[in-house]
Amino acid sequence: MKEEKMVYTEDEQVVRIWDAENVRQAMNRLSYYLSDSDGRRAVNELWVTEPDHRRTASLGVNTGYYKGIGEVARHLVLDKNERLYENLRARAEAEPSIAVNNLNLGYGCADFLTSTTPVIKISDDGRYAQYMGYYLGFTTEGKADQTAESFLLFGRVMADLVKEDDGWKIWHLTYAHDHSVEVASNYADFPVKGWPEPISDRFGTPTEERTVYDGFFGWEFCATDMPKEKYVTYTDKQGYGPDSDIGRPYYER
Amino acid sequence: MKERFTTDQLLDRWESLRDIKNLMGRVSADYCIIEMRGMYDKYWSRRADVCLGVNDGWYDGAEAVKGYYSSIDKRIAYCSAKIREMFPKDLGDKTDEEIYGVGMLDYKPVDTPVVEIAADLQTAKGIWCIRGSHADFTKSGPVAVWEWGWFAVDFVLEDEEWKIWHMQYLDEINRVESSKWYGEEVSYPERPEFSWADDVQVAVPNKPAKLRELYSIDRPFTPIPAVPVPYETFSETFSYGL
Amino acid sequence: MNRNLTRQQRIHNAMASQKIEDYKGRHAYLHGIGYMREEFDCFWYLCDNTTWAHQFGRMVGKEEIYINSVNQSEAMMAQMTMGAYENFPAFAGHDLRSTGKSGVHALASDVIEVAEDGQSVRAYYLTPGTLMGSVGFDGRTRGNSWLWERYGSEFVLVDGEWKWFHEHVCPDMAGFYDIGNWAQERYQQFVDGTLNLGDLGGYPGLLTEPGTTHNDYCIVQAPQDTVPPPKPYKTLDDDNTYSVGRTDPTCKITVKTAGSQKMEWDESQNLFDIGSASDKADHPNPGGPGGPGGPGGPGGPGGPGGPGGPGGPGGPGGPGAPKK
Repeated sequence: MKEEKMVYTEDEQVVRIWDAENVRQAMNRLSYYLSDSDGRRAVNELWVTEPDHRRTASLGVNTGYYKGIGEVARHLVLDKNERLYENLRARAEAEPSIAVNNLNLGYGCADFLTSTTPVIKISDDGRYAQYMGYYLGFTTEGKADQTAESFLLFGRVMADLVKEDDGWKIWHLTYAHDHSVEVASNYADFPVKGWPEPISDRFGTPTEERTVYDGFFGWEFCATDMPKEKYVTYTDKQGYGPDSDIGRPYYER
Repeated sequence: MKERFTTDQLLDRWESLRDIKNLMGRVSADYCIIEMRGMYDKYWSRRADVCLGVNDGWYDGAEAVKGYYSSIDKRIAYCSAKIREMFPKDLGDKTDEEIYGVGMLDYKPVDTPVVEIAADLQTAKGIWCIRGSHADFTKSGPVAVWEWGWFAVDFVLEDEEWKIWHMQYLDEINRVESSKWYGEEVSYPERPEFSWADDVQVAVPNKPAKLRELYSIDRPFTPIPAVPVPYETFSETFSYGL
Repeated sequence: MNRNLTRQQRIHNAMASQKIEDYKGRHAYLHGIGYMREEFDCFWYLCDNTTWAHQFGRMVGKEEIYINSVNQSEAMMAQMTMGAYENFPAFAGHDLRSTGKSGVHALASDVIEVAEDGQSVRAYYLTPGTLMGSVGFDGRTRGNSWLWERYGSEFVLVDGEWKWFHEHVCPDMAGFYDIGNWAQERYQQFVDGTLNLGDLGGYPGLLTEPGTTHNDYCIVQAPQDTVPPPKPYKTLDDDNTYSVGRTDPTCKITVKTAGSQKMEWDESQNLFDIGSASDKADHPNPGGPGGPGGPGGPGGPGGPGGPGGPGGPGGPGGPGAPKK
């Protein structure tokens, strides 16, 4: 039986057309800000601002969820900052000419995140949006022994966004990280099982630790994780936060 | 959200957005088929103050930008003729036009666009990620290179068409494939049949400057190119040009 | 963009453009996990004029496309999953098609034009695609392949719904992360006489129009503009299409052909299903990912070689068709 489709005035249709573009741009901005190691800008500009939304905001990584805007910021800002300082201290120990201070943060490091292949749905009520995209990127850190730890990164990103007064804001964001390929190595040489994910330390210590995504089984549930054609309004189960059905088989949804 | 544009203005702005994304898609498509020679006429503004920034400087002004693409054209034509000489059985009976770009491939896929169109709809700004791979002719023959970088572009509306006004084409990574990102790149033995590879070079910027160092383990933190922000009119925002 | 259309027409065209972006995105994921029915049943218009082209030629019509791109492809994906059971018994009991897959023809460089008549959309994309997975084609090592291609896609409005109508995929190069150098290797193979071209597109068991439509990279290959980005256009016709002669969704105007031919292929040079990728690092194989072996959908992650035979697709040509 065909579902009843919502209808819209011309004015509403054009607003919805721009809603989809603005959602896309918000997610693309996220990639740029994180590439710039500017998690603060991402949190300030792109994440929810209304108190209820901030309380229920979340950031999912393979190993759990950061719950609440403070925890999101802890990971995107503090964890990243700590990592950069750790790297800088190690460099300075080997090369005393490198001062350990905020001006040298990020010395010998670079990140590059992209947002591709987007699937975007705006809810029928126009208040919420869902986004799924694919990132190909890299992260590289120069080391004290004059080498670099450089990885090509691949995975999916899923997000719930909500339309607040000053635009579309990220509410729940989940990265389902698939592959970290060491630059200039043969990825096929690494064992499928029993090889620790090279960037797993960068998942940090989520507020709630649990398996959000197991790359071994891959995109087993990708079809059901994709934003649905039918999207009347936001529900936890259909969303991408800690109470969602991400990664659950169809018979558990 | 308080709307500040009428529905018809929003439609104009969406169509401009699509046109601009299409323009950059066409630029990318032209790289793929080695048609850089037509890029200036097809995609660039007629303004005298156009400029193109690359890692090592600026091509400042229309003549310099045209000269850049023209030098690429010359190099392509020269290399194509050399390849024809090397493989007469396969290419000997082909015209210069038929072999133009032979043995070359340049993928510069562009994605992750952030585009802001001025409220006055006269200019726009956009940034795209490039994740590319292309084959350079070297004295070792064709060598594939991984390229990661950005196009950061100011656009101007001319005769109801969007055109490139200022462009920064900046690389973050430009390394021979299968090279580590430190130390020497992978190299291949020289091949005598490619002794000509450096005969014709692309024009250097007429305003040398270090716009961006490629990534290295000794590079201080280098922010990515600025991401566009909403703006009313061009004088009120930053420029990707000189 | 034609701004002389009415407001309603402009809205219609803008929504059409976004719908196509949605389909292209959904396709990329569904294709990567072998969920072909969910794609072809839901947003394709399968009629006598529907076409799907790749290096090997052009599939035409509902039956040919469905058998190859859906039935055989899904079978291949299931075989791939089951082929990993021996090494990874944990896969058993999990989704036959999607388990272990995590690669996608990522989309970039989009050029989308909606016809002035609002009845069709044409789209060009580049895909710097990854054919990766926790387990690769060999069922035992990590999937580390990449395949970069161009897409020419067309969509038509049918009963008020947008539907996919034509697709033409043009692979240019392929390799493995993060080893090798495709330009050097292919040059050496060409000089040695061992470069095999035309194996990046798969081996469909049925084909109406066999014949190489696009060559992958080689030193004597001039640039091919096989699927040029669309320009603004009035209506889908033979001057504005990736599938000449088949632009009529009612199929009243079509191209007479000999119909589906049963194909036999030499799949021995399939880059992605011979031994392990580690072997390939030492002994790089020419050719590319052949997609599913035997009759199967083209593109997508390759699988175990199906029944093949002699007489593969067109051999290495010289330079391809001149640019339009």
